[in-house]
Amino acid sequence: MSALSKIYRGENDFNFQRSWVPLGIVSLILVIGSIVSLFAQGIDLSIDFEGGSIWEVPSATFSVDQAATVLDTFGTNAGEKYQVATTTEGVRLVRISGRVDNIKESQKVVAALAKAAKVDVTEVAVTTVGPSWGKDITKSARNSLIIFLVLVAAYIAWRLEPKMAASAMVAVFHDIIITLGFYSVFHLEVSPATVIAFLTILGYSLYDTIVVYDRLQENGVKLTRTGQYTYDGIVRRSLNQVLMRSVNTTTVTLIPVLSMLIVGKYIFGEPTLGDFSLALLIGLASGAYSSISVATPLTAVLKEREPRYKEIRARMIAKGIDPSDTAWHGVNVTGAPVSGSTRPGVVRPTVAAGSSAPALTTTIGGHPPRPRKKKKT
Amino acid sequence: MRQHPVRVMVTTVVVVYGLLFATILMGKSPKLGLDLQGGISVNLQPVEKGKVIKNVTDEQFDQAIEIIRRRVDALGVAEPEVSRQGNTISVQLPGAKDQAEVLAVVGSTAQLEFRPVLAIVGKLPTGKAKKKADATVAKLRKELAIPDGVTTAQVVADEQAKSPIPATAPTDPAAPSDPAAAPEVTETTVASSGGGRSVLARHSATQAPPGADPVPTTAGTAATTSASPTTTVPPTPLNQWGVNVYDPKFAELYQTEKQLAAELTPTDQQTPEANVTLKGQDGTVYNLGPVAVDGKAVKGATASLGQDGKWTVNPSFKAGADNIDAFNAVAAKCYAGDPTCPDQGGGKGQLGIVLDGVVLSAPTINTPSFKADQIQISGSFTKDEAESLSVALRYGSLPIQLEPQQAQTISATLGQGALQAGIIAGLIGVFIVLAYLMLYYRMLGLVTAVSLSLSAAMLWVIMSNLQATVTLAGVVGIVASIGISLDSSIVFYESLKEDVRNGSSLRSSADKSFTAAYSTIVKADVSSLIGAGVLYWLSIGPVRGFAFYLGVATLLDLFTAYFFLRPAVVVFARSKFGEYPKRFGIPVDDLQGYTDGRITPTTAKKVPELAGKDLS
Repeated sequence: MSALSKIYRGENDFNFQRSWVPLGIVSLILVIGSIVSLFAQGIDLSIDFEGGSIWEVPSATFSVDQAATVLDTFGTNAGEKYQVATTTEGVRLVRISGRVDNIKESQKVVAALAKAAKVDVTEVAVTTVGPSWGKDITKSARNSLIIFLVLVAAYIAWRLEPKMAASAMVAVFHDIIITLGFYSVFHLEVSPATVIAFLTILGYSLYDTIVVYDRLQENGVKLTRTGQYTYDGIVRRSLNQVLMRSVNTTTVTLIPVLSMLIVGKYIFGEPTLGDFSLALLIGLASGAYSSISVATPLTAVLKEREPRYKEIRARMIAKGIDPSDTAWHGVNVTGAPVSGSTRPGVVRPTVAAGSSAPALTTTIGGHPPRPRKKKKT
Repeated sequence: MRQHPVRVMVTTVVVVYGLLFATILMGKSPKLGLDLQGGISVNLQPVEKGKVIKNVTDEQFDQAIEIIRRRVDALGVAEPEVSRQGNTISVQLPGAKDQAEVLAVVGSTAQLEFRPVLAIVGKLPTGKAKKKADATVAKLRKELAIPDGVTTAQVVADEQAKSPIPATAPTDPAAPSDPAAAPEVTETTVASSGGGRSVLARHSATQAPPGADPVPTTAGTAATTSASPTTTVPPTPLNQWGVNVYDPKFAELYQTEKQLAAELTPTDQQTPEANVTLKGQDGTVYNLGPVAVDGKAVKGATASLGQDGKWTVNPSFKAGADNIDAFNAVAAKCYAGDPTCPDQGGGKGQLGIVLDGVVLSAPTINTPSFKADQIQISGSFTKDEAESLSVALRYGSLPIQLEPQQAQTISATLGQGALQAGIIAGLIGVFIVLAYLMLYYRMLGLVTAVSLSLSAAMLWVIMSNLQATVTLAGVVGIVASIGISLDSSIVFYESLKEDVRNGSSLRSSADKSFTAAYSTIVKADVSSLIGAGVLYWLSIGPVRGFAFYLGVATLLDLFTAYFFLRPAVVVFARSKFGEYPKRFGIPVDDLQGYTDGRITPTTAKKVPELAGKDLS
């Protein structure tokens, strides 16, 4: 049976643990790279955070040089970026952004630009952000982020487990740092739109993590009782069970976002939609990845140290079972691991484990009989 | 509640679509945000000496918002929105174009002033009365055949020029005595005409005797006196417009038009030294003298219930020449009916309390001198009126200076382009996603499609009825929430699939799987709701719009999952489709108990008893 067919049938039993160390190293490199980039070149914040103005002059003839001449009279940093854009209606716009953060001063620039471009003052669109407003936006975003994380952590700790909450927060920070790093490395401008996208990502990342955790906890209760599985084994089982859901959810979430990025940015040329979608895309990918390869492994590491699981491990070794074999082999009510389930009508294939313990030789290695097996039509 | 799944499903669909159609029939639709509609947005923050301050009370904020709202209304923008977001007042003016004008209007600091009333010159009708007056004018003009562009004032002026007659100034004796008729006067302190205002208002609105100018005339109101002759002149031939000015209808029209045309002093001419004409909250128009006491002289104000069971307002003044002494100086003049604060009835003058160019109250001064903390304004105040006046007095004593911190003009075309692109992109995305789900989950994909349409319908109903504003960030929030809505379906279907793969029959496991899946969905959705809630309360600007839609969409997800997804899947699983799990995207070809993808008869026998069970 191919891997895809197995996933479709819910019979997958991938050894996720094997990839944890290499993935962990990849994550570590990405995080360190992001932090280095953040310190080395910082982040390109839009005027909304730092104060400044954007003027948009609709004119078919007004040139960037003319605009620069006007802006130069208002000081050295008055005009920083000059751009010529065309709206969906085919109106040519000269877009200038700069560091004029005083509203009155900005109005003067509007008047001067309108005069130079020979358009009416009311036609020049202007956005001015005062320095304190920018600080306020930044502060409120940061505060709400912190409160959000604290509350969600408390919620996870309450409904699930404190150790899970801690791991989930690490995963969230992982996502935040990598997304910020991406913006820093590629010199992309962070606007309020990006911040929103960013918050969405956090939501998704946590959502994903909670779905995995919920299964993990359910299995934890069920399987720990049998004493046949280490926490690693439970984690592996849970991840395999939610794999298809994760794949599907990520797919259906990414499609609308991709559609916004492609249709919005490249077909309609809407920069705001582009801003949103790009951050969403990176974050979603990072979120789906981190819930499986950051949050869950950390939980496994933390939980495995609990006396309960240490005991199970010790008992398994005493029985001659290799605890590092985390493969799924069903649950036997009598306590001995057997192949397949005890319930009628259910057949659990056993995937060959990386290492096999002597006690399991009778059941591991061969596939259990399957009553009817037909080719998938 | 135990309900049959078919009933739950049908009820949900009928109710949701019913609400949608009702909303559409009522002609309600969501409001487009400024970024999608075009217009001007200004965010103001309180400043002191150029620095943003935080210690502004809610009361001051509310008062400031009320003042800005009043000013913005005067701009004539269709649907202005003034709201508080944390330490910020956000002003959204859809369709506005002139940023400089808007900034000038919203940016100035509101001042509280005490100005002696020189005269009460009329009353501007408000609300329904205004509409009625407008209709009367139109009707009478038609009846009298007065050409467009000619005002009755012109006619009267023309008539007077022809036959100047000594102004007899028929003062309506009832009017001046009105304030006195108001239930007020208290021994110790100021008595007011809080009620006087309304009595007077009723009077001028109902006055009928043609031409009898009800407005009390005084030295300061030349316009009023000159108007009176129209009624006293004996009948003469028609004038150049062919209008009979002695027709009682003309007199009525003249009065109504005069009321409507009362000219108020423009904001930039309301200097402290000048005489001004200002409107009261109920529309009464006052002629007021120069500022006698500045609002900063007020120390505080409280509203309290007097011993007679009536609400009073008790302002207190600071000590000093500019403060209580200045107040007493003007009070003495008003009490004596001095020309600078002339008699408005009962030999006493009134002192107007003006906040931001609006006369809040004009109490009669009943005592020549006051102690700084023993002043009482009484009248037929309601609790709310008394409280709002005391709030205004307190606000005026320490007005907050608001400075624009962010101002933005958005062109309408840019916003529409973004909206269009967002909608098209969203639809394409949804279409592809649904196609994928139908391919993967077959019939269940169809259920998800209906469930998504229900969520969308509910979202539209909520947005339309709350008159919530849709911003670009909101559109993105909605698109982002599609993922969340679909996820609950996926979690449910995967759980169902697992149960069937583990040997349960599709029919029996549909409801059970939902219970397990819903617990996961609730846990995950609650984390989304926490996020949305925190962002909504703490954020400013576009993030709020986003958070609102994310939160609503998440709640709707919980709703549709429970009231539609569950019963619909149960119904399908119990129908004859339930014998073919493959049609639900569940492969069973390698499982026991199935023949040719269909449940084998032995297992099928169990079904009837299970199918009879109700949903819990």
